[in-house]
Amino acid sequence: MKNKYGKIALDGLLFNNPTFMLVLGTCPTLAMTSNATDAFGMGVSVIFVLTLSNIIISALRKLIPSTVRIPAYIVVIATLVTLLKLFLNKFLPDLYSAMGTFLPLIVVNCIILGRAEAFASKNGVLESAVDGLSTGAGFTGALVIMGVIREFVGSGSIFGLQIMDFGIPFFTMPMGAFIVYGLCIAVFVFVLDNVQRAQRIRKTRLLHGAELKED
Amino acid sequence: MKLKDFLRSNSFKCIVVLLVIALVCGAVLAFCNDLFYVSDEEMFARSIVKIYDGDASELTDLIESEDDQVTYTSYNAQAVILDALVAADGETWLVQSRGTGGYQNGTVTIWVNMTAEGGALTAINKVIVDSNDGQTLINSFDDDFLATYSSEEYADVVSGGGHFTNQRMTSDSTPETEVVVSGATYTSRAINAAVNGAMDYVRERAGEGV
Amino acid sequence: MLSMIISVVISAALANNFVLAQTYGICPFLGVSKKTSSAVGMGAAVTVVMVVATMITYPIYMLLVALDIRFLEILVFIFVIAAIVQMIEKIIKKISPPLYNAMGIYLPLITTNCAVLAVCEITSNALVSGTWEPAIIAGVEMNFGFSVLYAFAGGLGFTLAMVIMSGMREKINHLSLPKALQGFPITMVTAAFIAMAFYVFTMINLGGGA
Repeated sequence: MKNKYGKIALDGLLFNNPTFMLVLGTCPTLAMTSNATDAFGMGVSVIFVLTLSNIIISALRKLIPSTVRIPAYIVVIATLVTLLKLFLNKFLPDLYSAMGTFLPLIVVNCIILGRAEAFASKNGVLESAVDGLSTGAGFTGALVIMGVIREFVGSGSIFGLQIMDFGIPFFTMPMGAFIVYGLCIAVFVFVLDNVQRAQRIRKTRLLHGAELKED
Repeated sequence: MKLKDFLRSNSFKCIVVLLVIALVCGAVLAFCNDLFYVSDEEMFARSIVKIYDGDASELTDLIESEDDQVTYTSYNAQAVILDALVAADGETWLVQSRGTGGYQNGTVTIWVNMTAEGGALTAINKVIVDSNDGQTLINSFDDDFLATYSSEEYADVVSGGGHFTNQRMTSDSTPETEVVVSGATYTSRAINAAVNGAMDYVRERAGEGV
Repeated sequence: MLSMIISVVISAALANNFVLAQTYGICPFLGVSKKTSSAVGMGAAVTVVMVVATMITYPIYMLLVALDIRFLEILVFIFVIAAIVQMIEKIIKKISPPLYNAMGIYLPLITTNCAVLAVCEITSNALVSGTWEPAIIAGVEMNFGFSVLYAFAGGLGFTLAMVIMSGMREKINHLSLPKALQGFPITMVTAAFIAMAFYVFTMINLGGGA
């Protein structure tokens, strides 16, 4: 039972990482990672919307007729995003203005509708909550990694803390975002591929060893 | 009979479910909209906190309606003074100024905290960017850049009636009255115009003994 | 008037290209740009939806402001876009089957294309709180006509980016690359170079004057 939640969480964080493996929700990934603070803010916003939308949709999944499920999901997601917008405008105006248009655009973030359709509409409330949290955390992690890289190379600081006195402004611009994103995917896929291959080799060796013993 | 069929049909159920969801969502949003309402006063107080350390309620507002707004021209750009606040002792001035002539004819709005002593402008304490429209390079004009206006180096220019420009326009102007700040970008022209306008406003009004 | 039109078109299509400068609509840009024919179909479909969506959401947003229910804006916009996409699909299917075959299959994907919602948000200036104030883009006040023009030019810029990208990808597919670089990574790096080329257009100062 515990293993099931662990698998869901690991899938969301690594093997089905929305940003690096599935390449979904690319627009905020490119636009909001010019510094690590904004990237973290965007990530937490998506965790909030994704987890709550997963919980609500999975709770309502037996009530909503399948013909109108997409409009119903969109209404729920749009409501959550509006709530988030009102909240940020009141309590975190700096983040609100930094996110600009990309705050309302969370509605059309494919990750959220994708998880609602692929997971929350078929699974229980608790599983959906775990899925929402871990997918959101995978998204946040990826955004923060890119934010840290771009902020450090672009302006020599991390989370607004000046570390070195240099900066290549290119990397804080959209074209820098494209390059950093492309290279991050390449490295992530490369590392995960090798890890999985190593695991497979170890498994087959174990299997082989067990067979030998039996002989 | 037909109505009864319709009431039992799947499409009726769909419509009801969608309507209920939309109504509940609308009600929740309406409630939260009132809960998280940000008043104009609060928006104003937020900008003031960034530029002024003291108690904002003790400041006197000099520009209460749009009729009081004044325009200053420096070099080839204008500045509109949108708001001005002065402390009770008449020494600390907070001016909100919008400079024109930015990139793609856009504007940059700034807040400037200045000190005036004996009816004359003596120093710029702090400059922050409040808002802008369409200035894609605005991130290059960060706190470090804005600190040049309040730096020691240019203190004489501020107190000596000088202005800032992004490129030398007239050949006969002397370094005492004109300093070149930043390269020749359109955004810096708008920021310079706004700072110049704020300085001119304080020079004029402080002299009148407000 | 003509210079204003040119300013808006250049700003929306080239200098502030939706895909390459503002990073809206990246999902279709990466997903549907494998072949030039599909890139053109997707671009045309997005342009049509953007123009029609702007025409409808612009007056609706004014209505929301008049009724003081601005907080419903996201909900209403996304619903209008979804409805428009459905309707356009039905209309094209009825009127012109060849056209439907060319771009109809891309239409359902457009509801979740952020470029469409973004153009509605930008032209209606929904992010600026307070009373109704038109957005200012490239020094031009966005009234209804200019908003529609902006949406149209933005759609053209989107199509242009898609077509360039698809042309590059058809060539890249023949390269032998390390496995980790294949697919999205090399596409992203290519997009970065196209974005660099488009950056030159921001050097055009539109209507700013010297």
